[in-house]
Amino acid sequence: MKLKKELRRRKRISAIILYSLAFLWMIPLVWSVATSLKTDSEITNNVLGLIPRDITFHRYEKLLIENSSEYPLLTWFLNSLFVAAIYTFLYLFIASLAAYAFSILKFKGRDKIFWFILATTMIPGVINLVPMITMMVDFGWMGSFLALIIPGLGGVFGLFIIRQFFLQIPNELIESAQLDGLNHFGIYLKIVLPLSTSAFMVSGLFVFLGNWNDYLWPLLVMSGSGTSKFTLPVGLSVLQGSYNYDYGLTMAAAIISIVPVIIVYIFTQEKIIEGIARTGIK
Amino acid sequence: MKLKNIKKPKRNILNLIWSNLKKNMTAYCFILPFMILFSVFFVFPFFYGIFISFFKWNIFQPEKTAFVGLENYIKILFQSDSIYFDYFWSGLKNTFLFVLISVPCLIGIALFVALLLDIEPPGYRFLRVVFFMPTVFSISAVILIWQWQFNTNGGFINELLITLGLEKIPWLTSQPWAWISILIVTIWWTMGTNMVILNAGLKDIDRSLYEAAEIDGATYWQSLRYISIPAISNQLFTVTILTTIASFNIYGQPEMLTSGGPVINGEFTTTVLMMRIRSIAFGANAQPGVAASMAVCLGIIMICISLFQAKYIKKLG
Amino acid sequence: MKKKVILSFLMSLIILSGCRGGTPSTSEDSNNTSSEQGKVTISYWNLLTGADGTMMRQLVRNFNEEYKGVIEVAEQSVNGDDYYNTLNMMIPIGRGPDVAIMHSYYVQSYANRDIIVPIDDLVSNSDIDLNDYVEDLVDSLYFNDKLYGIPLDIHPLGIYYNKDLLEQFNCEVPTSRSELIECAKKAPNKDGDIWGLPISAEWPTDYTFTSSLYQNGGQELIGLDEPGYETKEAEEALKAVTDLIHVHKLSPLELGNDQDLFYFKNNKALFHIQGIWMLNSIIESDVNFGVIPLSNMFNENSELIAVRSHSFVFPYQPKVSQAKREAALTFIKYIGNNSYLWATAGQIPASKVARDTDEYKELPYHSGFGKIENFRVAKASPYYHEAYTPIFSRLTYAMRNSNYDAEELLRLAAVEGKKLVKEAKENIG
Repeated sequence: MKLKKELRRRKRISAIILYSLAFLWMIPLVWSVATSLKTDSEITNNVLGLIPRDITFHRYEKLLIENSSEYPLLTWFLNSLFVAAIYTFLYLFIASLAAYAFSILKFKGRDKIFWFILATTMIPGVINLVPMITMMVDFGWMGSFLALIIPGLGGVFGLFIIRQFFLQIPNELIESAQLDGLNHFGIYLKIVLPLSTSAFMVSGLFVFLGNWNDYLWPLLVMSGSGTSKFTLPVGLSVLQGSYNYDYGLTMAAAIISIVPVIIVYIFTQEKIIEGIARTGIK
Repeated sequence: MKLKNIKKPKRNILNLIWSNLKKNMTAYCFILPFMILFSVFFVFPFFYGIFISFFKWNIFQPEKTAFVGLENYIKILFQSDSIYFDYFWSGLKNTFLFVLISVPCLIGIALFVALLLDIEPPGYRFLRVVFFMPTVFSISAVILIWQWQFNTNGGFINELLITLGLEKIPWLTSQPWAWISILIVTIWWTMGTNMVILNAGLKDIDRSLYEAAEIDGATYWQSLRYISIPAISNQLFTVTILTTIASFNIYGQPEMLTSGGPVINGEFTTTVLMMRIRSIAFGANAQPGVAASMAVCLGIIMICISLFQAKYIKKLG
Repeated sequence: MKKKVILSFLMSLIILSGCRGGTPSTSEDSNNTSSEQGKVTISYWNLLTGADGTMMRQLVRNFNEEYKGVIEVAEQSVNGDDYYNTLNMMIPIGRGPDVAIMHSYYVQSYANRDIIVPIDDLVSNSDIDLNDYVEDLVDSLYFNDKLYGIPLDIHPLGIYYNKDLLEQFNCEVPTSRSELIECAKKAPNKDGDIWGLPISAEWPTDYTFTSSLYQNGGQELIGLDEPGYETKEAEEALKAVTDLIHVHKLSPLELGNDQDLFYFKNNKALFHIQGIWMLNSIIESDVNFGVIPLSNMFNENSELIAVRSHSFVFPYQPKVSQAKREAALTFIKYIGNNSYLWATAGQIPASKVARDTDEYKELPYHSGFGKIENFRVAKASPYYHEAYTPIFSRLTYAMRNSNYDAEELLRLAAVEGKKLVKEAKENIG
């Protein structure tokens, strides 16, 4: 009886703290949306208002329609989507093949190679930065989407997650498939892939978001390519540089760029959170 | 006879390799595409980067590139009359400062929220979604959202302070406020990941342990100290290493929020080493060799710290 | 069911974006390959964004229309600092453009590194007359007695003033520093109200300071490679700028980049120091304004104004094509002849001929930025950038902190400048 009471008290306290914290967490977003909808005079006169008195959409119109030749947000958005989608698709294919070998196939030095690959994630990316740019220049990939897609295909994080999932596939399934005369590629295609949709969802989301949000790398390789080939983060930083006095406008740009992400997030948040939770289990 | 004897083991090794290859052909085919990409875009640039750091690398007149041995390292580490010495140590100091202030906050706050979520107040799933959401945004969007909150004149936070009858604070243009701003943005942006990992660890703890402890009269703090924390030591380990590495790699927040300023006594107080590396590698007076040697030094430091953390935490666990 | 809908929606988006992403590059390719007999395509890079970027795009379109089938200009625009990083990376490996825009104060440094090439022969065989251009500016484009650039424009700062507010506070349009300060002091100069002269501590303070330095008898460099601001004149110049904030209290402290512009555009500032390139943006804001030059605003006895300039340069290329060079020259001449349009984007044409046209003279605001003979471009030196830029961050500090120690500040900046020059010299070898 006493314990139950104690438990209820705890729930109440944690609810109070967490909801106020969540409120704090949301203020920046809510304020940005509000500011982007306020009229110019209200932006200066009613700074704190989280609900605009008069709603105006003219900044969104300016960004999406009028200024679309100078700052083509829609093109940047589609560029980001195109690059991230192709990248995610290729990555999942290549990494899942490797993950199959590292989890289901048995060969000499398998685990040693895998742990070596995993250990390289400790090496900071900075060391690679300068040579990677030199390589991109040599390959002629500067300013090309190839530079945003191909180099990241050797990434390790997604491979790790997919392998964790593959390890859980019962051995008997593989063995019986072998008895049925399937070769390993057949097993990969017909047995393992269909069983692993959730693995693909989880690692795919991470790989996608990582590529979608990447900032420094696209900035380095795409800055010489002309605005029509920018990805969203690069384009946004350019926009910020040109319009930093008009903060209603830059906020509207930020909102435009995160709305699709929020939509994807809301639909998939369970998978994302599950995936992140998994990385902590070793 | 003799000749044959010598040749035989050689052929055996070749045979061995060949048979090994044949036996594992399938496996090698499966990992080949990944290994090629991994080697070309991770392993090779790593060694290439170390290679460059031993050269006076001239991008403008490639024929003038010359091997200089450890000169770049000596320059950045010891040669105090060189500008790169100043840049390296000031950048490293600022990076360290950020790691020192951010890692405890990012783990502490994440743990605090994860523990509160573990009590499962009504709507805790929704709360988790809210706290995790900013982690899916891109850094440029995050900065656009925050920059004007911090603005000294007409920014949200200062307007709030004025309304409450307080003095306004020059958030981005004076210290320590510039670091505090960067810290706030970083916590808002990245805390969710740690929170979710820790929360998942707490979820896995057997509830009967808590019940038994409470029947024995343990307080909340005691069961926290003796049950929860030891049980999630694995997660704490992962989170500490991941957060430390991420904090060392900080770039976007100071670059876009404070542009590396404010400048106090001629020193760019939030210019972290990554920013210096970038501008030295690609800027007006590009010196990729110097930049690469700075990157290698930062890399060595990061690896040492990660190993030290691994050992230390393992010992605690 | 729901999943399928979302999936197919995503797929269609991806396919759509694939088409969008693909089209620009294919159309470019077809442009290059389908070039008819004798047609020359030249690549042209610049760092023009905003109003001047829009105008440059317009001019390129017009040019391509007029020279259809003969010359085609393929323009590429890169933002800010990244522009020079891109040039640094692409030109040495032979992937630079045929012609590029460069700030004139960079020309010496890039010439020194052989990233751009001399063009004396090209210009002397053409009908471009260098006497048409501002002498000071043309001189700064010579490195080791060879010409490396053709001037496009000059862009000074001016003081924009709000006519309605001046009337409201009973001010005449000021012509000197004391009048400016006297008038700006009539504004309430307090938070949430109108300010006399809001000044950002970040931008374009370096221009402002350089004008102040000239007016107080100082120079950016001593010789070609010594920082020139460890002097009494530079201290005076610094004081003349920061006094506006700390002593006369005409501006809020801690204004960020372009926040001063924000005040002016919202009728919250009497005066605003800003580049001519913001002209169109300010016209758009329907503030009733005029422009006065910076002359005499930092020292009553001097009318000098620091200006910058865009020039056309020819980057190094492994294989030189005479046809492309000449086509580029034709393009440069075309832009020069259409300088009137270029001027409307917020620039002063570098060519006397263009400035003498009636159309130019009828532009309402341009003459307000000062007399051409008072304009001074950056000192010509291959180490200008290294030796002079360390002052900028100190300037920002001084504008934010009233208790700054000018002598120490300038000394430390000079120390950094010397170190940077030394490194640059070693690097070039």
